[in-house]
Amino acid sequence: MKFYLSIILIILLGVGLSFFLPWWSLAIAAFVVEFLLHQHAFKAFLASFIAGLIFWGGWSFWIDSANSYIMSTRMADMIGVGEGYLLIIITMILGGLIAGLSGWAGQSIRNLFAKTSTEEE
Amino acid sequence: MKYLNAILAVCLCAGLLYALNTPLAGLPPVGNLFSPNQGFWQNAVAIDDVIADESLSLIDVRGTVDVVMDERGVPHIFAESARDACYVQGYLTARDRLWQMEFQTHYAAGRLSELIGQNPQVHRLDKIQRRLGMTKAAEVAVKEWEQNSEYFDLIQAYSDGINAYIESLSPADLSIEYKLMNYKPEKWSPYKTALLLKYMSHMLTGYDSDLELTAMRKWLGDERFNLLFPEYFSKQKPIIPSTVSWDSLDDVESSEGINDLGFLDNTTLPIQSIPMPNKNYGSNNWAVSGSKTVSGKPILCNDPHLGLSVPSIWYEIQLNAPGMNVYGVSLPGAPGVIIGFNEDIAWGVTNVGRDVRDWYTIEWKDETKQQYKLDGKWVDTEFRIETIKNRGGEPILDTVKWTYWGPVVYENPQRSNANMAMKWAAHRPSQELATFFKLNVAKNYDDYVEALSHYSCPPQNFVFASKTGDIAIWSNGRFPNKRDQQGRFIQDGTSTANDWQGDIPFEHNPHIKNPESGFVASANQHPTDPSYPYYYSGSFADYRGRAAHKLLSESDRVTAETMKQVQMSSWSFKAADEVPILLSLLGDAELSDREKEIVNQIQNWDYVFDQDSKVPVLYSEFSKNFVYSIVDEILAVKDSISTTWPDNVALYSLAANNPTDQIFDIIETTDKVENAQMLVRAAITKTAKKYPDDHSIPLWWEEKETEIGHLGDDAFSAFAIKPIKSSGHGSALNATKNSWGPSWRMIVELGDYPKAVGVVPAGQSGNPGSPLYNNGVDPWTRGDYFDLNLFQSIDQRSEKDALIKINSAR
Repeated sequence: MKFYLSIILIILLGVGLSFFLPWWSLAIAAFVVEFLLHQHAFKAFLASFIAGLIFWGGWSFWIDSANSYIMSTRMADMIGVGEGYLLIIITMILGGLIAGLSGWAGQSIRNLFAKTSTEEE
Repeated sequence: MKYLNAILAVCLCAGLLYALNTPLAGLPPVGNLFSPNQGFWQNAVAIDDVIADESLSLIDVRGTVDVVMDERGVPHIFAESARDACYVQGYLTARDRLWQMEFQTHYAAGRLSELIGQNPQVHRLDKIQRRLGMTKAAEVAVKEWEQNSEYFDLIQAYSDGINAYIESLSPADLSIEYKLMNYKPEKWSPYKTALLLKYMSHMLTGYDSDLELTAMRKWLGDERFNLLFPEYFSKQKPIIPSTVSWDSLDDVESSEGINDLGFLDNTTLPIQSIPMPNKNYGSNNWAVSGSKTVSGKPILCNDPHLGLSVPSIWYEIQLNAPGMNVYGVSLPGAPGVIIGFNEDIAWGVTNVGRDVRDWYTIEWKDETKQQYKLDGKWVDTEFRIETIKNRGGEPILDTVKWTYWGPVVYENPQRSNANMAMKWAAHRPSQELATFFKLNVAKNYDDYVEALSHYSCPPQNFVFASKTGDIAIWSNGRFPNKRDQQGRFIQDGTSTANDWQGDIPFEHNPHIKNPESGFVASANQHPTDPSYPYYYSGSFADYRGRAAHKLLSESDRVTAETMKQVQMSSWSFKAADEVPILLSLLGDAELSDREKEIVNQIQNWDYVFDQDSKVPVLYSEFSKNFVYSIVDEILAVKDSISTTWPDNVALYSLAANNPTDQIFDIIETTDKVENAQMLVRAAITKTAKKYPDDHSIPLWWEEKETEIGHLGDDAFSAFAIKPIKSSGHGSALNATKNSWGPSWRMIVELGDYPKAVGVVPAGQSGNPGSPLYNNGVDPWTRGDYFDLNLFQSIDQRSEKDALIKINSAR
């Protein structure tokens, strides 16, 4: 349950923070949520990863569709990756990694203060 | 265990965040670039929102302003004062083009190294801009503008509007170029507007061949030089027809010429001239009187040929305020309309090729360069230290030496005459924007002439038409009154006697109103024939002016549609002149089958540079081979002296009239003497070798390789629009070349209310993520135009247009 809850919370907090803060707002969202929810390290990483993936991937997909792929086509050419949709995949993976590692970091810091580590739950 | 875990997790996380936040391998911070909230995705405009109703509160708007944003993104600004109109023009132009505005003015000011550091080529560009005195010229301009408060208020308002936009910017709003180059915009000011105008002056008057012509004359001797480099060609159709008499200017004193190059030695002149803008930047404009049109009212046309770029050099706009209702193209960075029309008149410009930039040798007293010789005395040099900030490195310092003449641009300790100062009309105080503000509200011929009287540089041929039926053209600018040959060559800078002696009075500038021919036209050719009492030299195109003259003389029952055909005409006088000469020189020489086929195709050609034809490729190759073989002696010396080639017109007329002239001898073959016939024969063989069958010949558009490049050049080549399938040739009215061509085509039919069409080969938006980035390209290529609506009120807008309501935030 915590697993799904953390995915949803990271996305919601990530969206909220993204209006005020730069790209690393996603890292803060994942860190804070995993710190508070405190689940198993791998689950924290995975949930955060999935949240980042959905958040950045979904958002870029939505922007790209509304734009009829004009920008992604030109940027793909600019960066040299060929196809515009690959930029969505890169964005997704970046989002996943940023959130995943931050979530894991949040979880591991929380672990330091926890009486019982999630490892033993 | 949990500590290890935490250390590992935190380190990995911090490492990733650090890496994504750091510029690497020429890329900006990757985390930011890809983030959907601030990166490039934010520049991907939702198609449905490109044009949308808005309401804005802007701090310095004094009244309320309504803007109709039409479906092509052209703002139609309705303001309660001209001041507010210019303010909103600044705001909206910046919204679409801020990066371009900054980049162009950074370039002009020699500040590109601030953006692209550690790059020797960029440093060199910056140094040259500083040495051309661009910054000082802009400072002088602003000081002059401040004297005229009415217009300075408008320039200041425009600047304030730009700054209002800059202040409202969030990181996500920055255009993609800022994100990719990882920097932020700085504040705008009237000084930057001045820099932009100097940038235009440099683009349009920054070409000269004084150094090359001097070296060629010294090398060839006067007689050969005059034969190969005549100042005027007999077939030329000057802007002011030869039938016009200059008798009314009989009080003009003809002073003795400056023609002696004895003080110079070719071995001490620089070999390489400084980089210069394309000499072929040109334009067409004309006006046809009601006597030739179906409507009985004049029609005015203009297509300025500049670099083809995205974002475009032009930004379309309508400005409406009490006493003003004008539509046309503006320059992003300058208020008002530069080429356009209002309810009463229309005007357009083409470049005047007259040389307003001259070079003077400098004789230093000693190596410190603190003094130079002038009129037998040693005069102090003014040092201006230029600091070129260098991104990520130490700033570069360059001391520019200012003399009586201007800045010393050429400096070379090894070559004594390589110290040359530049005297340039663009350094003089001037009020160009006053001219355009006045044209924006001009109602008749007198208003137009009064507006033109304030104009200096870059000199332009201003074509004019009014709804009352007048047509006119003035070849206009503030021209130095030069003595015969003055400024055509490098001059002795040790004597002020070689300076410009005053200016030609404005009223004496070449002009004509309502000529009998029923049209006025210009295409960068000579403004006058040699009977004009003032001497001038320069760079004047020959073919397009003649083509315009021919096509307009032949047209009657003119409509906007027939004018479109003239603007799109790819028929070339160059080909029409050269092909018969080539064929007659070829005579009945024995040809191979393939050579015969090629000659046949060229013989049956209609001289139209059609995109899908292969014959223009054959002709170009044939003519090029011929010309290269003629100028072999010049090519042979190009590493030891500064060289330039004679114009094709001169070479072909020599080939036709004196085919045994010594220039046709190939210097490599010492055992025989070639003539023009033999060179043509060899040129066709070479052409046949290159194109052994028709399959090997590309189509003309493939050969021409027109592309609309991004202003940031190679770094942004992915944002360029290419390939462009288009007809045209530099010598045809549709002067579409590989990187330059008609940057704006406009046709205005005057009458009770003006009807106009136009097209820019780009779009209103500078954002590569917007559909309005390049929506003009395809119509432009096809020869289609958009309607240009001069609205009288916002109620005339269509359902597809949006409305922006702007009020004061105070």
